[in-house]
Amino acid sequence: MKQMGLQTRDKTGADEVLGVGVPASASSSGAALLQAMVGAITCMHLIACSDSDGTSLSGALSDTGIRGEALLSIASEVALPTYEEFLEAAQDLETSTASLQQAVDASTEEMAEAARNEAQQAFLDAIAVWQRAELMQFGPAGVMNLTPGGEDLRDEIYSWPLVNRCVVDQVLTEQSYANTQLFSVLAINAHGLDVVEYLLFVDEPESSDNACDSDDRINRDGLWAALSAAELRLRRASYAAVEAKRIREYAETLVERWDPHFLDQLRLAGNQNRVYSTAQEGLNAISDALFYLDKESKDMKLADPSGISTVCPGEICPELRESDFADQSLAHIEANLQGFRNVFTGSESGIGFEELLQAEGSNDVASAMLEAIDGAIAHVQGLEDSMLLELQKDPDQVRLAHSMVQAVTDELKTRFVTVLDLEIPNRAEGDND
Amino acid sequence: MSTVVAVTDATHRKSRLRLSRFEGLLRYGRTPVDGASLAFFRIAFGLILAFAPARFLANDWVTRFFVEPRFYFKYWGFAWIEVLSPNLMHAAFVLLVFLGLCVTLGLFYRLAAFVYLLVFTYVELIDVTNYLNHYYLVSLLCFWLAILPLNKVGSIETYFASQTRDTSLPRWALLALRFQVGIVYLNAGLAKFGPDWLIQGEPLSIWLAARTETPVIGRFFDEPGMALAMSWGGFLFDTTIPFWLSIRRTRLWAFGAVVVFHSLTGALFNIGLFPWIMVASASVFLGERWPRQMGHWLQASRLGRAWRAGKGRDHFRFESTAATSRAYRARPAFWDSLARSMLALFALAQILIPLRSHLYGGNVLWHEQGMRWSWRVMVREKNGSVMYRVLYDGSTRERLIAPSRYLTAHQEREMSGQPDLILQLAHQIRDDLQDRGHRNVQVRVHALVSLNGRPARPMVDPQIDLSKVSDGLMPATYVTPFASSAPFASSSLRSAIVRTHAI
Repeated sequence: MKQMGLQTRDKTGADEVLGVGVPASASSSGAALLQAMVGAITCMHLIACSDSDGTSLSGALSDTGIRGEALLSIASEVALPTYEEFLEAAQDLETSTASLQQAVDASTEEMAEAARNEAQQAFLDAIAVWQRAELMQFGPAGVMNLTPGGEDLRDEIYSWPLVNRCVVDQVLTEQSYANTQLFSVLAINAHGLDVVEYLLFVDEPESSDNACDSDDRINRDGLWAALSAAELRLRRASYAAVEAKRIREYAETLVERWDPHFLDQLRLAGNQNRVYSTAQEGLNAISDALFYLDKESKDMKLADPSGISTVCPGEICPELRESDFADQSLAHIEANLQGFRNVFTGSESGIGFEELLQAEGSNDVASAMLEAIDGAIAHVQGLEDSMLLELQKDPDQVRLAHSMVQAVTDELKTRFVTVLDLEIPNRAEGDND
Repeated sequence: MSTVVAVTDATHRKSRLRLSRFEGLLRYGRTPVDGASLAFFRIAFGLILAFAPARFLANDWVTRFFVEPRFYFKYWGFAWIEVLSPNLMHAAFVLLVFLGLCVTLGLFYRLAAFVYLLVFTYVELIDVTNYLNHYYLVSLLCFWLAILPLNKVGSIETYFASQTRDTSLPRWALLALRFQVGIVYLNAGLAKFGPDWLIQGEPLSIWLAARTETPVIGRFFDEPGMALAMSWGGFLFDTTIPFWLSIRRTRLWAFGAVVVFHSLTGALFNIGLFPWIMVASASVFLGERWPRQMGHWLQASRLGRAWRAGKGRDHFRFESTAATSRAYRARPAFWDSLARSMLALFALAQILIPLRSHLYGGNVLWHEQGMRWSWRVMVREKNGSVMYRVLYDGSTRERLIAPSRYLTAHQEREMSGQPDLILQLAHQIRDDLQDRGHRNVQVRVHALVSLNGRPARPMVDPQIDLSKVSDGLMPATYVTPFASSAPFASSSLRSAIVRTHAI
């Protein structure tokens, strides 16, 4: 038998090339197959990673089908406008808190009260927008090393549930807010909208107590007790003004990081995109942000104060409300649901997850989710009083709100992620078992 | 009398024949074969063994999976396994990298493979939510590495050996690895034998619909029937590839198909090193001397000639295979027989363990009993929403406990589709409440689960108090029966169905 030139003959007499006894005529086909295998691997690398010379095989994400369109649409027409809206509100908050500080400093009681009311309203306007943005913690607002493109900007603006009123009282006592360098390195629970809420809404002048233990230095050394009511009011106004300015700066940073940097990244695909190599990865990140409604809104904001969870030892726990001072907890839930809805439906001109589900033939999932969201929003809107009063009056209404939000998250965690094949971002690996 | 003698003779002849066949089989197993191909496998697999833990360290996955969780799901029978301190966990992964390199180089080879087996298996036993079929395969292959002398060729130990090298291995070493890899493919194929995969094209249809932006080939994923065609392709590939790889005439083409198939799945799905493990493992089906043949081919190539011309030396020269003709010496009879029996038992277990799910009846993808260690790879898209409902101290008002109070997002996602893990967390919740002084603790669960896109329905009976249910090997009565509705059909398949009906 004529054999190809590369083969060797072993002691057993078997002629083998790569384990196959092949005639010479097959030698070229063997080599061709090797080349084909190398080619296949190279091709798969191209498929997985796009090409290396900078020209994307698939072009921009907007050219990558409906998922790319949805990603760009949700990012540029829902998330970014929300951040821009918040920036405007943060500017108003900065202005109004600066006015409050001047009014308190001038010691004009009526002016101070009017300025305080104005600052409080500015806060309510700002937090209402931000509660929608809470559902959009992807990109620069997200957690660094956990969210693709995350820069931890969210926590700088609103650190809840990392809240510590004692820390705020310490900052007040030591006037750390007046020291720019020291203030900038304080932990995030000394910053954010939750701090501004406390400073603007804490009852004055009745509230002369603080949240620290008796052996804390501000109490042990008598620092807090030495503060007069007027001085405390002035310091709170000053702290609020400094913090509002800081929040406005971070809001500006957030918008700038989004436009143009993050949006430019979104318009790219493959290796050029340093954040998401595929539109699907981007959608994974957005869907992960939607899980805020499950973990934070449902399991913490609703379950804990209404006594559904075991965190609350009694019948109800109003002190576990998110908005302890402004008593806006139900409004926050409504805003969370609205933010969820905005991402889910997309903008009026663009597309969101609703259209993606419809495109996959899952109209039933899309309509079930929308119905559940609207039902929950309507229920929360129908509660006339604040969460505190509702809990005192009829806690079952708040518990019902929890059930209605769970109807949304049940769909989110089951059919929604299944039909769209959404994964936890940055998961290690799997073989789907 | 003569009849009795005749019968006895016939019986003896039969038993002698059986014995001689068995001895023939043993002799065939002892036939020396060139160790070159298994040396390649050792080197390739060793590199994967080193790279895999290095990747965990580089991505800080050690922290994510073995430091951050507050609760770890235990394997039944391995509840005593505890996670080490963060520093020691990191050290374990550094050790794995080192051991992987030792296996690659053939340095303290058997000891390295054995310790790798122990450390890697320990790491995998820490938390069930980290279970992956290919991690299990790594443990099994490490077992084989630890008992097979794959360091006879291409290792540091033999390079520095003063005596003439014996580069042969008993044929059974090769057959054992082929058996192991064949078992994986065959069971992965049989796991796909079901209506979801073969009739509905699920869950591939769901997955492909999310990958239509894949360059070059993605545009075809939306084509009608594509998911179903690929499902059938996957099924036929898995069930038949061990045979194609075993037949000499089709071996090379089959290996080419293995490379293409796993490259494709690796590019499309987030399955980590699974494709590379399978490609390296499938190389054991190639002829035992193929690395030498490849060396000669390279030697004769233009590149090889240029290299030799430049260096003036033959760097591609491979060792003589004269030693391969030596008969493989058997060990003393007792140890040989003991080892043979142990390996036969191990092999039998490899056949039986994946089949155990059939003892439970129902749909294994739903109740998950017999799901692990049975090579059911890429056969389900399962997501759930779980909320625990507890009663204690005689109260009639249920309180809720979200799994996220205990679990990381990864753990919660994995637990939500696996009833035994839901039960395990229920027990933890019961114990925690009792530790806090509560009495008469009852734990029920709201566990809605969607399998392959079906509408979500309760996977665990919401009326059963899980605090009183024990985990075990018996059928899980707390799992609801599977409702055999059709799975979700994505847009491409639906349009295919519509078109078919229109025609």
